[in-house]
Order: sequence, then C-alpha cells, then structure tokens
Amino acid sequence: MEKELAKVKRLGRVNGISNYLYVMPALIMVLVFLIAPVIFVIYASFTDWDLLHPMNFVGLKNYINIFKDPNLLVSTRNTLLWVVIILLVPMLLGLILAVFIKNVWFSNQIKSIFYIPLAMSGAGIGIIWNWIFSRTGLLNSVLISLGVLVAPKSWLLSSPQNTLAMAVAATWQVTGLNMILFLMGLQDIQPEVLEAAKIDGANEWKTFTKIILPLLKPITTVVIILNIIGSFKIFDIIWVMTAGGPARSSETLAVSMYKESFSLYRMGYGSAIAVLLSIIVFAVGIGYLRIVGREK
Amino acid sequence: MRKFFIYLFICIFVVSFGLMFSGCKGGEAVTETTAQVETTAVETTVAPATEEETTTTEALTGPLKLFTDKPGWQSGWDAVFAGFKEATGVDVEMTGYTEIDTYTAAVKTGIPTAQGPDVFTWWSNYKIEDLAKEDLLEDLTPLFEPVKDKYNPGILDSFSYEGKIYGAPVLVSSWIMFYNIPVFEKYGLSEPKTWDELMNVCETLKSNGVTPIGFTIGGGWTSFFWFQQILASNYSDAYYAICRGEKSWNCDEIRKTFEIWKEMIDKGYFTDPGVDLGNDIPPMFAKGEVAMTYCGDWYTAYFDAIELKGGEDYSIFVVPPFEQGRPKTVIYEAGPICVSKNAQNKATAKKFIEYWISDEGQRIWSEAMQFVSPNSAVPKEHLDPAKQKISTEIFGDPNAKLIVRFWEATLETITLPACASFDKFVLDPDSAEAVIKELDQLSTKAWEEYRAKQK
Repeated sequence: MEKELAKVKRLGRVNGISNYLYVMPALIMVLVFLIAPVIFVIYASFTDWDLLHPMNFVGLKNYINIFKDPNLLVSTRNTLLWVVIILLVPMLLGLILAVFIKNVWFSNQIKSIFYIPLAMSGAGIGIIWNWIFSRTGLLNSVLISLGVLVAPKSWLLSSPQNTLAMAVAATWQVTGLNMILFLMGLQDIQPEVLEAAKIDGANEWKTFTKIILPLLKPITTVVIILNIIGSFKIFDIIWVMTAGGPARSSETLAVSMYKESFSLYRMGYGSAIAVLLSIIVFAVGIGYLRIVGREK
Repeated sequence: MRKFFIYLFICIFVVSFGLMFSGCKGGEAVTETTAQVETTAVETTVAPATEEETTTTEALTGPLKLFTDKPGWQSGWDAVFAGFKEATGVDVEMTGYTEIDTYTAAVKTGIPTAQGPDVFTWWSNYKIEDLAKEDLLEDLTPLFEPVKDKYNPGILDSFSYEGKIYGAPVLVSSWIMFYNIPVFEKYGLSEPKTWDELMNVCETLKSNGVTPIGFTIGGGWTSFFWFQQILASNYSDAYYAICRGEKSWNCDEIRKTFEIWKEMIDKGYFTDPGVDLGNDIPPMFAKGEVAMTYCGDWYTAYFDAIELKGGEDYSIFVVPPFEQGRPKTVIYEAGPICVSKNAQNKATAKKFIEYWISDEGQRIWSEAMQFVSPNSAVPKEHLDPAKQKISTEIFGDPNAKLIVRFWEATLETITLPACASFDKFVLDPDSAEAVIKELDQLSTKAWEEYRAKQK
C-alpha cells in the first residue's frame, strides 16, 4: 500500500514537472516580451530618459506635465472624438449590415467584401484614403466633376475635419468585423423566439428592438469593448494620413505618445503618456464590464 | 518542486528585465562603454601621428556596416562602395531606413554598443554635437589633414565639436529658389536681384493666373522654409542668437519676419499649403501652374524624376533680402557621415572616410548623384548648368554668406514642435502674436531642459 502511494506521489510529481515544462515557453515569452517591458515603461515614465543621456529620476514631473501640455489636451479631445465616432458609426453600420444580409442568399459574398479591409494593414488603408482625400485624389476629382467644388480642397488640413476624414477610413476598416460579430450573435438567436414574437403580433421593428437587440447584448458588449480599445490605440491610419498634423491638430494620445518618444526623444514623457493611456483603456474596459455585469 | 519553478521564473524575469534595462539605459550604458573604448584608444594611439599610422596599417575587417536614412541614393552608394572595394577589397553592407524617427532611434541605441553601425549618416551642428558630447563619435580630424585645404572650413565647422571634426560631408546643399524658365520667358521675367523685384515677379505671375511659389506644410516638417529664409537673410545675427537660445523669440526681428511672410500669404503668392512637396509641387512646376519653389538643391532629384532638365527647363536664383545692404545670404544644410566610436570595424570605417573625402571618392559620388561636391578639387563638368550655377554663384562666391539651416541650427526638441507652430501661422496668418508667444515658451523650455542635461 505504501509502495503504491509512493508511486502515485512520484507520478504526481513527474506530472507536476511536465505541466510546468509545458507552460514554460509561453510563460518565458510573456515575461520577457510583455511583463518586463511594461514594468520598464512604468519605470521610464518617472525618468527624463532621452536615449542619449543618463536616466534621471524625476518623480511625477512627466505626469504633471501631461496635464499642463496644451497638445495633450488636443490629443485627448481627438481620442474621445475617435471613441465616439467608432462607437457610433462602424458599430451601427455593422449591426445594420448584419441584420440586412442575414437572410439574403448572397450574404457570403457581402461578408467577404466587407471583411477584405480588415485583412489589410492600417498603413495600407491610410495610403489608400490619403490618396482619396488628397488634393489630386478621387474625392476632389468627383466633387469637381459634379460641380460641387470649383477648386480642389485640402481635406486633411483643418481640424476636426481631418479627424472625421480619417474616421471614415477607420470605419471602412472595422465595419466588416463588427458585421461578422453581430451576424454570429444573430445566428445564436433561436428562430422559435422570433416566431413566438410574430404570433404574439409583434411587427418587424418591435421584434428588432424588444427581442433581437436585448438578445444581442452579450455580443454587443464584445463589440463595444473591441471598438473602445481599438479607438484608444488608433495610430497607423493617423500616422500615414496626417502624422498628427497640421500643427498637431489631429493627434490622438497614441500618436502623441509616439511623437514625444521617437520624434522628440522624450522617452520618459512618452512613457508617461503610454501608462496613462493604458490606465484609461483599462479603466474604461473594466468600468463597462462592471456596468454590464450589474445589469445582468 | 513548485517552489523551484517559481524561483526559476523569478530569475528569468529578473535577468530579462535587467538585460533590457541595461540595454536601454542610454547614458549610463554609454559611460561604461566609453570607458572601455578610451582604454583601447590609449593602448593603440599615443599621438595623432601614431593614430594615422594605426588606421593605415591595422588590418581591415569587414564587411563595413553602414546605416543611412538616405537609401534612395542607391546609385551613389553603389558607385562609392564599388570604388572602395576596388581600393581595399572590403565590402560595405548598407542598412537603409526610410523613416527618420526609426532611423534616429536605431542609431542612438546602436552606437553605444559594438552591435550598431560602423559608419552612419547624420545631421550637422547641434545634432552631431549631441553625439560628440556623449563621446560616441570617432575623431576624424587626422583624416582631414591631407585634404583640409580642399574643403570649406565653414562646412567642416558644422561637423565639429570643441575643435575636432566628427563627420565627413555626404551632402552640402544650398537653399535656393528654383524657377521655371519657359514660364519666366513667357511673361518676360528675369531673375530678381532685390526683394522688390521678387515681389514684382510674384505679382506678374499671380495676375497671369500662375501661382508664384510652391509651398507646403504637408508632412509636418516643411513649414520652416520661409521662416528661416526671411529671418536669416535679413537678420542673421538674430537668427543665430534665437537658434542658440540666446535671444527671445519675442523680438522685433521675428515680428518683422512674420509680417513679411503674412503679406506673401495674404497676396496669394503660395500654393495651397496642403499640396505635397514631392508628389504635387514638381508636376505643378513642370506644367507651369507654379513658377517657382524654394528648397534645398537636393530637390532637383524630384525634377530629374519627371525629366526636367537643369538649365533648360529650370534654373535657380538666391532669394534676395528685403532689408537694403544685406549681403547675398544662402541657407545651407550639410549632412555628415560619421564613425561610431564603438565600431566593430573601426579601422575599415576610418579607411572608408579617408576614401570618401579623397578626390577620387568625391568624384565618384558627385558623378553618380549629380551633387555639387564640397571638395574643390572635384571637376564640375558633369553637372548640369543649374548645378554648375550653384557651384559657382554660391559655394564659389567668396562674398556669399552661408547660414546653417534652421533644422540643424537649433535643438531637435525645438525644430519639430516649432514647425507645428509655423503650421498654425500658415493656416491662420493673423495668429502671429499667439504663435510667437508659443514659440518663445517652447524655446525657453527646451533650452532649460538642454542646459539642465549639460550640468
């Protein structure tokens, strides 16, 4: 009996070791490439690091400067504008498209068409839309030939028009994903529920608002969280289309973080913006999930 | 067992974090590396003569690692690399970066270590000074001794710090006005010699439906063009004092500069600021929609790309000052190639610079790139008439006053944010006072930070 117990114990120990060995590669990667850099960025945010000179500890100076920096106010305003636009437009478009194409015979083709932009890189999308909005681009050509404009217009030069123009590009990119997610949600709704509503006399609109929308809540939560995070970290499209300009008028917090760190070499200050941005995204995400959880 | 793995993870975490931290620590890592390099330097070089001897007799290792932010100049690089290989048998391996920020970060993090480039292209004045101060650059003064007379001392000064030369010229570019010859001929215009004549040229062009000057704020870095030209050509002392942080931006010279600039904007002498410097202005210039454009002479590469010929399709003139009695003033930019003090192939790197600044190296580079060589011994016959004009009327004119471009004349923490302020002014020329105040605050803060770092 004792022998068997010892054997079981030994086997358990061997299993324990192998369990750890299985997770070790992933754990090492996470530690080296995620956790360590995160801690380093937090540390750097309390220094005046500029790549060349010694890192000096400056306490909360970088964080205090964020609240005094007028450029950061503009970035914050633009970031919030992005969040609102991305939460409203691509989400609504995604929902509408999902509802409309759910039962049509060519839904697969439509899905593919709307999904293609998502397979493209943000930089590629930025280049395409930069050309569309440029002075010699598609939009000006069309508007001039229709007689709407007399001379070409620089769509990306004034604020907040440039942010809105870039939001159009982002909308084009993310609508497809939202549509696919909503389609998944719609497919989860049992047909019996909808039939019961019909028998009870609910019209299409009532069925949609009183039955479908509430049942889509779990997937809507996912879509909202994804869009919030996506809009807070939006960088590539802006960088390619305006680089945050002119006069830093189209910068978001992510662009400011990059510009301060890699254009102006204020790594400490850039790190502080990165930390703040992460805290905001984290707080918004957690806050939203809590609200949803409480409602449940 | 569980404890063992927990300890192991902690160890891995601490080691990886420690490695990353020491690698990114910048200044502190630099100090350590520098100390090692200094020791080596003492061992191998006793006096300048010995150092020269060391460079020539030391075995050449390779391939030489060259980093550049100018990979588009492939034909020039290839020609020089081939010449260098023929002379020494060593290959050069080039890593090109098209994005300036990435390039700067790659160099700044690379050169404190032996893993960085052996040689790399950089910028002059404050930008090279930053690296020299941190003891990251190899002193190239001895290499210039045999050829010093062939180089303009002012240009070499742009690459010097505390009397030592840390860079060899890759590009010496003057900032001039390009004009479309057929358009000028069509409206009976000639090269303006005074500010009033320039304004008359603009007025004539404007009244004939031609936009006088191509100008843009696109890309976020171009809005300083006219600011630097107006200020430096009329108030060069104030320009330098402001750039060096010795004078406030809140001054009469700056006000006058913005006043003149605003007048030009208000009169419609510039293109829409949303045009693209490289993609829009050259074709507009070629079609005669724009008659002039002000830029560094490297801009001819864009004209070459659309097959405009210097001397036939376009020529150049120096923008005259509006203040009477000012000398012919030309902004110039000088781009150096430097040797990292921690270069893995230092002897080869020095040999490369020796070859680069030689008559042969400069001839090859100038012929391949069609650049005006700063080496006076290099023939100019291969250059087109517009380039030859730059060579004789600017670099060959002893009365021409050369002034460093704004981009290099001041701190890099000022240049880019200042361009954002100039953008604001261009979009709203009535905002001059607010912009001046903003620039003054920016400069004060940047210089405070800079001086604090020097202590």
